[in-house]
Amino acid sequence: MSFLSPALLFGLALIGVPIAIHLIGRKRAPVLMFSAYDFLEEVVQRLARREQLRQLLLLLLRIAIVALLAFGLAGPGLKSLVAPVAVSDTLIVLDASHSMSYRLGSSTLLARAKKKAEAILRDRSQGLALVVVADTEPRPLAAQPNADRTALIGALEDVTPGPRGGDLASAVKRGLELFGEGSVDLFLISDLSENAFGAGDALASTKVHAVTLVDAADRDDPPRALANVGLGPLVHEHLSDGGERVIVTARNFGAAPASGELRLTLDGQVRARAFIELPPGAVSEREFTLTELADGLHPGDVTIAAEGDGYADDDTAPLAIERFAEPRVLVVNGDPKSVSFRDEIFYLERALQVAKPEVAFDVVAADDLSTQRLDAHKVLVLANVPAPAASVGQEIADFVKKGGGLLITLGDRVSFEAYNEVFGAILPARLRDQWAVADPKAHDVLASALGLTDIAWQHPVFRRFDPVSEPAFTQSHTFRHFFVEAQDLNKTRQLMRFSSGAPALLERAAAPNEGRVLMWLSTIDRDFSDLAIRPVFAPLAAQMLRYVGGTLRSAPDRAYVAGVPGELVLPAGVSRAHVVALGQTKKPSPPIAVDASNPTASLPAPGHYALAASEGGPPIIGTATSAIASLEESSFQPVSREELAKRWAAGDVAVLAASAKTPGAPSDFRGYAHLILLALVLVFSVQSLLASRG
Amino acid sequence: MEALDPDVIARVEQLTLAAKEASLGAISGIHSAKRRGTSVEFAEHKEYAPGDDVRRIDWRAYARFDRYYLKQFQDEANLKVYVVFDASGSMGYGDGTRGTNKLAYARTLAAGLCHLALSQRDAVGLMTLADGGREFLPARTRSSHFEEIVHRLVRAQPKGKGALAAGVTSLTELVRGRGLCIVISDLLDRARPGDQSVLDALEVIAARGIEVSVLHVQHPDERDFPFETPAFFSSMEDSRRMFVQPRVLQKMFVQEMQRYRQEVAVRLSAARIDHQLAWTDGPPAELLSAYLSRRMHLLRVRA
Repeated sequence: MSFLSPALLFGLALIGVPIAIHLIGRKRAPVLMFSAYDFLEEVVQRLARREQLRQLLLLLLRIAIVALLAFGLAGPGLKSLVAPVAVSDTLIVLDASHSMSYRLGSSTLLARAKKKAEAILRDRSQGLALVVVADTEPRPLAAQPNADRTALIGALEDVTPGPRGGDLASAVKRGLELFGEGSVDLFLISDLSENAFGAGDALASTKVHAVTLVDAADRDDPPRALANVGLGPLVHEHLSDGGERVIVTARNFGAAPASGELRLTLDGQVRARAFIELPPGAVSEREFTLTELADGLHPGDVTIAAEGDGYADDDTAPLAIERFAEPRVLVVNGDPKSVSFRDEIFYLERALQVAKPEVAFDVVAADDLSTQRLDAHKVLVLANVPAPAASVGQEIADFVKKGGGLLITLGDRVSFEAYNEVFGAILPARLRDQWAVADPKAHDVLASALGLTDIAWQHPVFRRFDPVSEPAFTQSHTFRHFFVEAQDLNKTRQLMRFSSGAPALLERAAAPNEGRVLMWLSTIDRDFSDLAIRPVFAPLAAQMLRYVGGTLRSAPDRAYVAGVPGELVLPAGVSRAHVVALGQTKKPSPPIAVDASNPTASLPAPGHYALAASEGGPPIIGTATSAIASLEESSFQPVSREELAKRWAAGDVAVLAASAKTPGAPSDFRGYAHLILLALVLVFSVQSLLASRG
Repeated sequence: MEALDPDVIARVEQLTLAAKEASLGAISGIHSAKRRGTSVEFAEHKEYAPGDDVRRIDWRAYARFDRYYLKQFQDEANLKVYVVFDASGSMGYGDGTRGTNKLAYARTLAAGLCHLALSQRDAVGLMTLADGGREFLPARTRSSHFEEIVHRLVRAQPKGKGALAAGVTSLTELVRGRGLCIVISDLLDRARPGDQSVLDALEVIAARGIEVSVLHVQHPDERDFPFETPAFFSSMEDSRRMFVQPRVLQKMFVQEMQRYRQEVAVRLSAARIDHQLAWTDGPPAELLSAYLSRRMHLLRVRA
């Protein structure tokens, strides 16, 4: 005789309970004084033998009830006297990919899968057995195949869905490696999502007797894809009118049409809703426009609630919108003219007047610079300004050191020696002499003028420009520009070059708390270059001022995918930073450090993130971003038995559906639980009858 | 000193009242003339009491005193009533259950009968049996004797064996001439093999010409045995006890007690002993009334 759960035989120790009750119950009986004691005694003496027998029988029956209960729960049975011809071992591969967290009814697919695994282990009580969990790495629940079903069933309890997809093929191979020479019946318990099966020759092994595909979702054979609508990466744009546009992509991964409500929430408040209908497999976009957002960080998310969708991970896409106050600009005009279009800042003024959102600016003459309070402004523009006195230069340098932005444009009023002396500490590079490329009055001037090239499109200044605008830069003409000291170029950032290869726009490598400095090595009027009359000049001027004013995001407005490596953009001047979680997003552990030389990092979970200059430090403004869940597990498109047989080179191995009869030799274990139950009922009835007569 | 005990005094007064109430409710007396029409010597006049034969009223005396008097003759006046009061341990049963405590119930019956007998100017004596011994109070006719009887009854506490058989047997020496012996007991005093049982003793004294009445006091629990919970049952007369599953033996016990009551009734009837079952869940006055009525009827039949 053997038992399915021999450990439960320890319950036999409980037969002491009725004995104890029998003995203790008598000791604790009350004492009654009675008058007709002699008569009572006579009756008792007459009944004594019968009553003793009855009490003994009752005690034995109660002991039998406890014993039968323990015996029955242990699952007794007898092995057949006739030995089976062939016995196959059992290999169960349990899919624990993240998609198994799909909730179907009141339980997850993984919970259902574990119950099915337990049922198979109980049913196939003969031979060796092993369960291999298909997580990101195959994980056997025992070191070797063994016959201890109870231990395997117990180990199933600790299986939880993995963070990403599982690899069933690797798990099968790993499991088969652990078995010896015998024949193995393979049970694959999964949501049958085709992306979990991969390809290869997993079934080419001669050990495999048969494969049974067990659908954790209990669908008909062949199964249909489970209902799921997922959100893709959000696209977020700052509109030129100051609004924010969020484009949401939703995809129906299910086999049936889906519909649901999209909801955009910012700062805990629902800001927009939309209803979406998706045919099977379709992708649809919805666009939300947000206006009148206050300056600052606005964390939120976009969610979709679709009917019948049991996979929640891809139903939410975190969103972080940062808005900044436009900088107040002080423009120092170094070459004012009575004829307005000949004025040094004529084109700059026009550009800022049409900028959206509007950039507020004040204009002073170079001579009045010493009387201005620089700290009332965020950005200072020196437009062809002669080098000021050393005290003013120091004041400007202090302004920059404290975080103020500076845009320097050059011209004929600029003496490179004086500039190097006064602004040496804050110039991106020391200036050298001018170079007259061509005479503007010459007839072939356009042929010899320089265009603009090597533009750093990923830099915040140029990120807003569409690549189609590139000709506007390359076809611009510069007739004269300044050189810089070549040895200083390695410590500066070149955002744009002249077609001659000389630097055109330089950014100073600033410390994290210092202001940004940009230097345009030509004029912003038409004296040295015609860039000012090019259509890209107005947005370029506004972007340069916003950038040095610190109101442009350092990182592009994009959503990262959790668990997928992506390139993070470090703010200018920041060579090393740490990823910090914002709000209630789970803090990455261990902290993720990124380096300017290799800014690639993988954000661990969906949520809001930002960069911090130091570990545990405050987030750097303008670096907030978000990560959405990977859609890798969103597709529940099932694999068919025929397709699996082809993929895994099954050959002659039959791939069966779970509804088919369990393959392999029939179990020789004949359970007697029903007989135990019958005996239990019988004994209990007799006991009750006997007790009622007492 | 005991007589001054407030508790005893209270109980005496309570019992006195109960006895008078019980005796007033009786429609018959304890006895009647046994030798009606014979020329016996006139003894005295007795004031009429309920239950007396109205044919024996002395109308001349009525004409003189405007009150009813009966002529009494020597034989009638000398009737002695002995009450044998069983105060064995088993009589103490019944506190806190349905029905009255047997001893209290028996006290009321005894006091009521004594009061009735004394009001008929019969001499009344009392024998109390408790803890293997007995106390005897000789028969007196004076009305103040009632107080002494009541005191004895109140003092009697249930304890030990009653020695009822020996007590009853001793009456053969104490009763002289015409006498009535009223035994008030639960008759649960089982004799050991070879010893005389209480029924044997009653048969003996009845055979010697002493008129005997037995008031067989029983508690309803001794009839129905209503217990359900397994318990240790303890004797009230000694230290014996045993574990009993009441539901197992209830039926047999009830049958056994019924059989014993039938045996008592048959044997006493055969010995011409008046036997009255007294269940303590009924009013004592009604029981006393029924007993006296039946007794008068029996006396007439026998006469």
